[in-house]
Amino acid sequence: MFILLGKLAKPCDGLPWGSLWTKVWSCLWGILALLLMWLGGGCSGQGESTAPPSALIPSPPQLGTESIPMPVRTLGNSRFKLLGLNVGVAGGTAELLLDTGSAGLRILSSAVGPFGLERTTTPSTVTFGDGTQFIGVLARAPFSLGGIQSREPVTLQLIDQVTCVDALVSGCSETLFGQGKPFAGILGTALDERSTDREVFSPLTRLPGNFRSGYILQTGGFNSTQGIFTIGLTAVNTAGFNFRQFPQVGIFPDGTPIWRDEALQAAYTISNTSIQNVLSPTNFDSGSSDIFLNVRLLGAAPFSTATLPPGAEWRAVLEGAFDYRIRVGFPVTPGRDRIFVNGLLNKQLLGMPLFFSADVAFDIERGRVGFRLR
Amino acid sequence: MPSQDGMQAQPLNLRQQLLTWGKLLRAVGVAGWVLLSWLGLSLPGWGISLGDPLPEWAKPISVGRQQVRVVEYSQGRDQIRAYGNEAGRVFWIQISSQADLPPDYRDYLGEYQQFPPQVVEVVPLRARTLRFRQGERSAEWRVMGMSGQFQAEAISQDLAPNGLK
Repeated sequence: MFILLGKLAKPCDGLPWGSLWTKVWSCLWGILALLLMWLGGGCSGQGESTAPPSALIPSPPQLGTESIPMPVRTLGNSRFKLLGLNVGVAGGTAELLLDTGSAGLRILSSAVGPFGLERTTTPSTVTFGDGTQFIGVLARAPFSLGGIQSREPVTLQLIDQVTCVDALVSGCSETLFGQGKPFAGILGTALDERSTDREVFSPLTRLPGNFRSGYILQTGGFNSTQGIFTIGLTAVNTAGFNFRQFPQVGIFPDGTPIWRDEALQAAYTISNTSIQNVLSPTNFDSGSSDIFLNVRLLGAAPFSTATLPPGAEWRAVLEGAFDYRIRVGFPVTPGRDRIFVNGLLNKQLLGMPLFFSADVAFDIERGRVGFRLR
Repeated sequence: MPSQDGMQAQPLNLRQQLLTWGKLLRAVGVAGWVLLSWLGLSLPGWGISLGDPLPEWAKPISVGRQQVRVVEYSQGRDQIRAYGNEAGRVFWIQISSQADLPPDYRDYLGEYQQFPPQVVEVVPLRARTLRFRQGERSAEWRVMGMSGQFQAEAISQDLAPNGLK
């Protein structure tokens, strides 16, 4: 904008005095037009999909922390929502799906730069619950986030092919990953061990100094199109968060602690059912577009419906951290009040609806998770 | 001296006999283990599918307020639990797998796998539900998790007891 103003102001330079008033008027009109353009540009900017909502105010800059934009993507026919994050790998940059429920950096080989990339011949394949499969090899490469470079190369999965495991029945998430598609891979930031390749774990642990202490997700709410991702925890940016401690269950090969991030027990209540204040292990999973309950773990028989119906009231209480309630609306909205009840896992998954309702801080160094309800 | 030699020779023979018996017992033990291992390894051949009769040794348990019978067994890296209805036929199979690939529905759906499939629900990366339906008969196949920690289940809608449909 300042460059543009300078160029348009040039006709006012070096004018003869004879035509002074005419030129003054034309200059004034030009300046007025520029002002209108500037104001117009400012207003239209508010409507752009990348503008953070006014409610989201990043913490003031501090040593050892960095806040970067975190796109909230609305995807698919059902308009589910997932989070993105731009990362740098070996000199290339790409937007990855930000997944607090899986561990490790998995990126398409086409999205990775050539600088410092060490591709191995060790095969690496991962398959997800919907049948999406990443086939590739292990590699090591320098990683960066918000301009902060990793202290050393990180071990990652270099994806050569994205496919569905079952060709007979289509319908996995291969359309989410690839060139010209929303994401070039997954950034798994779980504090736990959740990869069959043991050396593939959260690359955030490889950041220097305080940047590796932890991270905060602030989505800005359900209608937000862009949130804020902050790396590096401080007393200032974690003010107002209620933290709970995870148990440590081991260490990764490089000595990084493994925290059991699904060990915390939240108490669940579903209106008009036998499920009243029942404790169950819970995982806080940004890679899950919805909430997944396993009602059998809560002592109930499988429900006849896949999701809680409109009007149902649901509550999850994590003692000392949050008291979170949803009344299911009509129609049921993915990412807001879609609660699957017949989950199969040995834990409950609190997915994107929780992240739209609370800022969530993951403390890598001390093995804690903190919540600040919006 | 000869008597002394004789006296010394007898314990040696006894020791040899004991050693021989020991070797024999060890051989029988090894053979037993081989047999047991062979039986154990051959168990996976005994897969269970929807609609199969539940074995006699199924145990009664309650699911919610419903009483059903269940069998549990291991197959490779999979833990399998199959529930039978009042007619003794398998209507629900749960699989917990530590394998890299998700369990294959063709191993568990029995004749339902021949029915036309449809995708009921795909929750990106986390879960998929397929339905195989023909006329009044249908079964669902659900999978969640990821490599190393899959959970899957097959459930027949027409064989399930009323309280669990």
